[in-house]
Amino acid sequence: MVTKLVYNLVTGFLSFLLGLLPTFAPPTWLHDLGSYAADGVAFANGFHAWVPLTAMRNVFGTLLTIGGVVLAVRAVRIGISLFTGGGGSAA
Amino acid sequence: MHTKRTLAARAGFLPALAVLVMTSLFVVAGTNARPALALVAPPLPVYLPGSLVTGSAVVADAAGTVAVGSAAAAAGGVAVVAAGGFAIGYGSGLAGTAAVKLVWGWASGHSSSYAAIPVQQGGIQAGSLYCMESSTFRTTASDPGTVGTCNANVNLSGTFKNVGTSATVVLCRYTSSSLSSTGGPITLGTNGQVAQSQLVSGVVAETIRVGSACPAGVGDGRVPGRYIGTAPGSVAANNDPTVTTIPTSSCTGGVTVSGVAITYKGSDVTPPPMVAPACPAGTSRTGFTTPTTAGGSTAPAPLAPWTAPTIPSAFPECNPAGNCQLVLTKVAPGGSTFTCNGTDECQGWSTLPELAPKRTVWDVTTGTQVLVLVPTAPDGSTYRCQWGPYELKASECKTVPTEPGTGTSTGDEADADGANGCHWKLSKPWTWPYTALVCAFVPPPGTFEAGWTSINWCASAPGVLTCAVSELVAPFTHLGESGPGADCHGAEIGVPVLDPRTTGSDADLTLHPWDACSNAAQAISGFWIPFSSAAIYLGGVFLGARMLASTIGAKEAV
Repeated sequence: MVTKLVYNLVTGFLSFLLGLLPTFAPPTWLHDLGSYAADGVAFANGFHAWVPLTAMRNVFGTLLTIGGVVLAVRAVRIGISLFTGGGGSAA
Repeated sequence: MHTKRTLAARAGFLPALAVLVMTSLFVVAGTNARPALALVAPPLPVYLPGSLVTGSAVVADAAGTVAVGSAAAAAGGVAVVAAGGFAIGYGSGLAGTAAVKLVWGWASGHSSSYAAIPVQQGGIQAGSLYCMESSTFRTTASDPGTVGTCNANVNLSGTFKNVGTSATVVLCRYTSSSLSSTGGPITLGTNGQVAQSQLVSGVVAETIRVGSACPAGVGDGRVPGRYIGTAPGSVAANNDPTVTTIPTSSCTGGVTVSGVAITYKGSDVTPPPMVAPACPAGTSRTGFTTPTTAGGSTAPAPLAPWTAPTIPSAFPECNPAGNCQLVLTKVAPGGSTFTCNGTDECQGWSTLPELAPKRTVWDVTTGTQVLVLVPTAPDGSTYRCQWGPYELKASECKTVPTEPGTGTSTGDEADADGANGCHWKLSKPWTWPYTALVCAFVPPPGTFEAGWTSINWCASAPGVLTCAVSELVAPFTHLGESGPGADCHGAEIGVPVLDPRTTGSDADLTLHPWDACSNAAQAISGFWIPFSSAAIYLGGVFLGARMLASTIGAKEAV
């Protein structure tokens, strides 16, 4: 009851804030790109007996995540080095 | 140190090298596995010129013989509904491959397709119906066809026999971008008839596949456990004893009204929707029964044309329990669907804010308020409204107050009925403090998810872009998934074949050059996929470790 009330207030406030922002219709070509991507993936899946698509997806997704973590860590190190005499170096 | 880097580099190149080698093997294996690539025309179907109108269909058997009427069904298997449809029936002992050929109208000329649908006991397994560039089809040898556009009113009117227990028949609509914006998926309604179709206009191609599921991003029209033989005069070719039910209404004054007899398979677990017949004017219904008689024949029965059931009222009773549900479905541009299932997920779907926060389960037949759906959401989504098996127009999508004892509701009521652990047990007063805490601080299951999804993230300007980008990325999460067109047969190539010995009959020769269903390709694939996957994972580990090491200042590669 209490938790739900608080949560509803938070989500309601978020909805309110989002409602204040302007909106627009996404360009058609952006939807087209998504459609092209879906077509491309559907086509590529036809080769899954010969191309290790699952492994490629998993490895690529993991590397993307690691890349994000690396960037975040480096940003933090750069920030810290500014106060510890490092001059903004993360080397 | 230099040596380590070189080793890592070699490990990274391992997958690429393996891909190169195995690709060569695969090409050789694929070629050997398909010596029939020579342009040999398959058995050609025979056109019925009179049927080249919108919505008509021709069905040929595996030998390419077209039959009209019930003859083919009686023989067991594919049959032709003479006007405006096709049906796939079953006869005892039928197993093998049947071919379905659809012909539909064009602005000038027509297009056609010819594809094999493997038919096995248990339902339609898979198949493909194609509408390709019109330039690839022609009606006669001298007919150049309608070049450049694929402008077909794909009005597939037919029935699908569901012999299995709960097989799902899906029409998956693969379209190019120029086609995908023309409308939603083709949907099938009660009994498998096409409940919704649309004019398809485009310049590239459209592919419709019949299967058991559609891959992500492909529009579909699912028909879970539908029946044929539930409309007047329509009895499926069936090797299973049938059951006949006659819905009967008892009216005031001792009047009894019998409805249309409904015949369905005896092994169907869930009976088809039954509508209570209306009582005569001046009387009211006092009862509704569905007397059932077992019967039928184990012999195939003929198929007969039938028409889609019409909605007798805004909210017809769907079965004796009268528990049809009004289901709202949001269809995203990519084809993903979100169903308003009774929590807060419908927020923002309606232009009437007071109706938006909650939609529960609607019941009974007395609608009062009109739910005005947003025709098209800012993110391009559209809405679909269904009352039981019937599809309603948005203007007819009404909310109905839930009557005690006949409907269910979710939301705050869950707290009171104990669904959230608020069990106030009078016999155990020492548990009351704990119960109070639970009731106060533990939200009902699904609250967080429902609240999160209720926020229309894609409405604002940054959200529009974010959602559009996520829509672009989302298909890649389904990379490597199997499904129709992504099974061991691999991608298909349809080669239009024109047999010069005939007067212009055309057909598609479907090739599977990447087939890995049989040896030796199957054995090679079975070895190659784990091997190459391991190499890729190994390379990923090296690369990931190197990236992580760099964050702590490691100068050398792992």
